[in-house]
Amino acid sequence: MNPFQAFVQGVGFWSRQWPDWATAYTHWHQPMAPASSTGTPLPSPRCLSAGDRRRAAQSVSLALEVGQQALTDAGLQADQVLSVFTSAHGDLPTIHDMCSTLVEHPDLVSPMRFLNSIHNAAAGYWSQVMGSMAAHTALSAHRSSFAAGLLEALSQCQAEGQPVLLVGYDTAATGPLRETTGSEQPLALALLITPRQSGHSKYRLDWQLNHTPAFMGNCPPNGVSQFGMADGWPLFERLARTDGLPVKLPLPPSHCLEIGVTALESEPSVILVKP
Amino acid sequence: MDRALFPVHVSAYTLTTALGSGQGAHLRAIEHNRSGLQPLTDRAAKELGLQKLPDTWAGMVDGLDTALPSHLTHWDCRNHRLAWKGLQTDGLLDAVAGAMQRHGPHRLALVLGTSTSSIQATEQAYHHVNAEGRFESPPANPVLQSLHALGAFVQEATGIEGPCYTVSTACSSSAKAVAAAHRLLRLGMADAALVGGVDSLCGNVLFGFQALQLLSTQPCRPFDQRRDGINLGEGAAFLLLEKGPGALQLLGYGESSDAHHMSAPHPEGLGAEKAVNAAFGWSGLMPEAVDYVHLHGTATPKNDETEATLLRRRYADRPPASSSKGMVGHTLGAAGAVGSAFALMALETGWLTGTVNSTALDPAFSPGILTQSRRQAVNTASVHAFGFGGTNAVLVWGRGSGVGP
Repeated sequence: MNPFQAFVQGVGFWSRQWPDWATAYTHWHQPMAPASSTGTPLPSPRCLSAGDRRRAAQSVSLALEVGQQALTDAGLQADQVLSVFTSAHGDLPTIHDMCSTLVEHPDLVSPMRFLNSIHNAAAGYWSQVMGSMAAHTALSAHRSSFAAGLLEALSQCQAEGQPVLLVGYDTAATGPLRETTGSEQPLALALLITPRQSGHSKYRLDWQLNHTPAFMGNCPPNGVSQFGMADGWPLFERLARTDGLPVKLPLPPSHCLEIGVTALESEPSVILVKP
Repeated sequence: MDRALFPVHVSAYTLTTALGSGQGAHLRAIEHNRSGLQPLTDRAAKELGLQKLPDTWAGMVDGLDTALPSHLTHWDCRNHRLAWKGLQTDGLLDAVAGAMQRHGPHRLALVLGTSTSSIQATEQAYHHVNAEGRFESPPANPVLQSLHALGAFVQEATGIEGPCYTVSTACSSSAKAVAAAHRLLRLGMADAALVGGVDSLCGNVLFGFQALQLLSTQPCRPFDQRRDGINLGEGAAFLLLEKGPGALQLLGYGESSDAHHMSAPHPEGLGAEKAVNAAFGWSGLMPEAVDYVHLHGTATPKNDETEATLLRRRYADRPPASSSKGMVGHTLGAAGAVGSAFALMALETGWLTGTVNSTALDPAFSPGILTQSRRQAVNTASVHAFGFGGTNAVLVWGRGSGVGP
């Protein structure tokens, strides 16, 4: 089967060390550039009102921040774009609060907290604050959540012929879930994918689903296992450093999503940080 | 590729709810207008591992006190027991095995929908946290404490090896799983797909819906003028989709967002209408010409009013329509698949479900909403599934070139 083609028109990124794509890109592109300070507070997405920013669940802040970054980078309107939200664990602080409350005082469960615990909360907030009636979806595939989300986004892009925003996000766990999830640091990733090339396209993706064992795929490097959304890391590293080799994101038990990445601009649209 | 040209058919389907296991049990209940809803009692609390329960009725599935077989014990929790039970009827597992033999296990995709997944296992674990704030007995299988547990469990239980993920968009989850699977089949990434949805009762949803003041203390009455809220339900429904024409075909799907509110529908149903238009746009069939509409019909004042308005505006009040939630409760993420199973049974047998419990329909609503079941020829049927976060999914099923009643 021949690969399908899709185009990346916008990129979003957030980690405590690299709170936007320009910073992540700089670090990957110029490894000697100093990392920005650790311990950056969680993002306050501009698309939320001041009150909502204060009250927002962590996953909502993360998802909306990178979604907005990618959409702005792409120069598109939200209502023109389908969206796919993916997360390995959902909003872990909210899940911790809900389960703790249920032990002693189930009647005190907060309606807001319950709504924030629903897996498509971030997706629903996105469509609401952006005023977009385009369809959204939310999914999970545990440690392959980014790969599965990307497969769904690329499938929607190809099948529906529309731009798709992919947002992958995971929060740090609190309480006993720290040990069982291993999700110790927040990470959020976003791609605005289009079916056709435009003057604003940054990368071409030649992609296919391959029947190959998962261990042949690109695993995230060791230092990245602290992120619930780690499986997306190799693709973003490749966007920063296109070297002609495809990225293979495992989809266990027996597939990889193989993606050839070609940069389309001679100059990156990000501004390199001066050391 | 013109998507109207890519046929996908249902080669097997099944459901397990408060009405019992399998199509036969459900058809008998439909014929006799029987409800499976019961008040939640101390016995239910004990079975669910909860100290107390909200004052409400629910559709609980019997027989979930039996543990999973020993080779699957690392997945044991109520939701997976329900999934396992749900897989056992109507020849579904044999059909899946046959498809794996024909196409290869790696050519079957698995896309399931759920709201609760295995969160009940996490809730139970929180009762045993030590002084250091860690679980006294962390699960040997950490995937059990994640949303994808359902997909991973069914993958292991069936031996399916193709692309597998769990969709969780509240009450539209398993309807959207059908759409996602269709895309994978159409793009050639799989030759068949097991789709479906499983949801079960747990503290999160019981007390979460209570906190939102959406539960009724009575058996729920969709579209009734006295309706005052939902009853939760447990459900497992599975459909095996395969590429190519067949007796039961997917004729269309439509997805949209309300962009209005997290827990209340768009008051004019504009998002839902967008999904209806998209679903029917494939085939050129007009909504008012469909033979049956399986409504979302949750019995909240707002959903039912919005949906009845949609029936009038987009279906011209013509097709017979009903909600099954007075029989099985609101099965949340499983609702789209459960509703599809009801629609497929209507296509195969002509039996249209009655909106059981509802005796005095809101007079402003369509006269086409059935309170009692009836039997007639059905060639096309649509299914509505609308969820929190303003997510809308509509499916259209139809009889293909195969035989019918």
